[in-house]
Amino acid sequence: MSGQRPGDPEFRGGLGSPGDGATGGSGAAVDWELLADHLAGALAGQPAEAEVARRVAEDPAWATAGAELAAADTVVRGRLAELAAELAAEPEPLPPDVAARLDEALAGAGDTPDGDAEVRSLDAGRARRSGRLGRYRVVASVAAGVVVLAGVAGVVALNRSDSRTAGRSDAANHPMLGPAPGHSAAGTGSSQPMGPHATAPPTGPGEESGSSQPSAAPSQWAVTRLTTGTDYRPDTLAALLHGTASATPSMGPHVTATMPDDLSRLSDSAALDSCLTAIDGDVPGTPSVVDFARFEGSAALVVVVRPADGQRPWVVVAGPRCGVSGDDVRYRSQTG
Amino acid sequence: MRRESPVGAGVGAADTDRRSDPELLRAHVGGDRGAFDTLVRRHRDRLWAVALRTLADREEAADALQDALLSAYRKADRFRGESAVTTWLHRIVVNACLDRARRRQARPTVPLPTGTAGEPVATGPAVADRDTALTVRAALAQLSVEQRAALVLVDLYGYPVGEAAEILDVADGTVKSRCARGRARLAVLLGELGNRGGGSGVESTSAAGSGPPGDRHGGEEES
Repeated sequence: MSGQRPGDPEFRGGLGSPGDGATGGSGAAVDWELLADHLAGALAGQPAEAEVARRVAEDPAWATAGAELAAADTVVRGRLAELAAELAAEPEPLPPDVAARLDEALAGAGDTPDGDAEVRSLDAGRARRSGRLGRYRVVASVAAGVVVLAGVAGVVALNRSDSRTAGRSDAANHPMLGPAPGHSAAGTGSSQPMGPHATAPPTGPGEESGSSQPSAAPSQWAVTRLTTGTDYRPDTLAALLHGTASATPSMGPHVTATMPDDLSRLSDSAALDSCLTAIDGDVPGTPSVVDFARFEGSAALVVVVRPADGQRPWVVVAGPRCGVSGDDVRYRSQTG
Repeated sequence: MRRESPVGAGVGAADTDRRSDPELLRAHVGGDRGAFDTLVRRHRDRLWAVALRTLADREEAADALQDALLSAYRKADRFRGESAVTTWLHRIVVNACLDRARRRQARPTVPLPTGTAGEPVATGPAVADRDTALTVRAALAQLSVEQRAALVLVDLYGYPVGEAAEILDVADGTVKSRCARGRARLAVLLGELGNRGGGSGVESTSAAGSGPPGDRHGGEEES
């Protein structure tokens, strides 16, 4: 399956936006952004590189646009170089009042690095105040129910979910829960659509002690939360969709399925909601499963989204700033 | 080629500390109360300059720098030496700037047309001909913060693409793309790429180019 990263030429706009141009064939409208990428060498090694090169070679409109863009780029680089020289000639050192303010702030910062629990809670507070709570969406998808799973060494501790759901109705009828050893909650038959309800992320072993306080606000999105400890690659993302990420035999007991530090902020329901809302703006649909995991070594929230129009599901990889800075999407691919 | 600013690292007369940046950071983690301050004083002018140019607003830059340095102070124990200390500091500062700028832009009551990864397209005086062309500084302020941050690092302060990528925590190709698309947008704003009218592909980051081929020549700089 082919995925997309920000900066990829295919990665333009949210999937909900219509009218993606440059659809191929001669006479296709000039895509200035692709051309700019092409000129800068940003498409090197990608399939789009050959396609754009072909268009520039064969389509007069593209060739002319390319020449214009190259000329304009040279001028702009010159203007930026002039500005750079201005900045270098008139350096603006840190103003004394700002310096004083920094000194004071650092003096009051405490003795030692403290795991930034305070910083994280500020982020959670900002997420709650971000104004996104006004949009609630009734979740009517198959992946119903919010089951918060503790991160423990080894595979996902699905068999602990019962104690966490406080008597709420059956867990999601999601493939992730099916093969769990000894777990019967998923086998209770048909799922029911769940309305928003509060979740309380447990602070189990392996989670850092500075974990953010769980939000008591109801969740907009009913998703199954996982901490599989997987370090995904583009070709292994489908495992989350097919429910095999946690069951990979090669993982073994040495893999600690702990929440990556950078994602702790997102364990807060409000922060996670903001993130999923941001992802929804990019890939409209219903998120069903989120895995607090890694992608190519970096902490990432991996989300399965089932599009509203019934298309094949997407797996979206979001970075730690999801919900604070757009959806911070790192990669996405349509699987199935 | 790094364009060293005269106010770059380590030129302060007060910096007589011979410890390297990593040594200072380790000392700070170990409880040396003056070490972080010494480290900051070495680099804060450059960090301030980058913050100021990225946010184009003194108050915002001051707030971002304060947030960032406090964060660095507290998270110093997480620095693993995988990059230079200055790169690490720059990353924290630039991220604080990006977060701040995105929060400012992120509350429209009417959804803005978005480009990649949800970044809103800057609105405002979208197009100029030569006579009313914006200054470069004003045009830079019109860009999305992601594009501006990339251009500030690479084109204004001479950071190599690789280091800018580390600072921004994105791939090299993404840096190149943001710079290239940012420059293309600047070209329109500065009147170097002709008057595209509404719906120019350069402005509307999610749509294709403007009009049918041949239409582009209308309104080009003949003034």
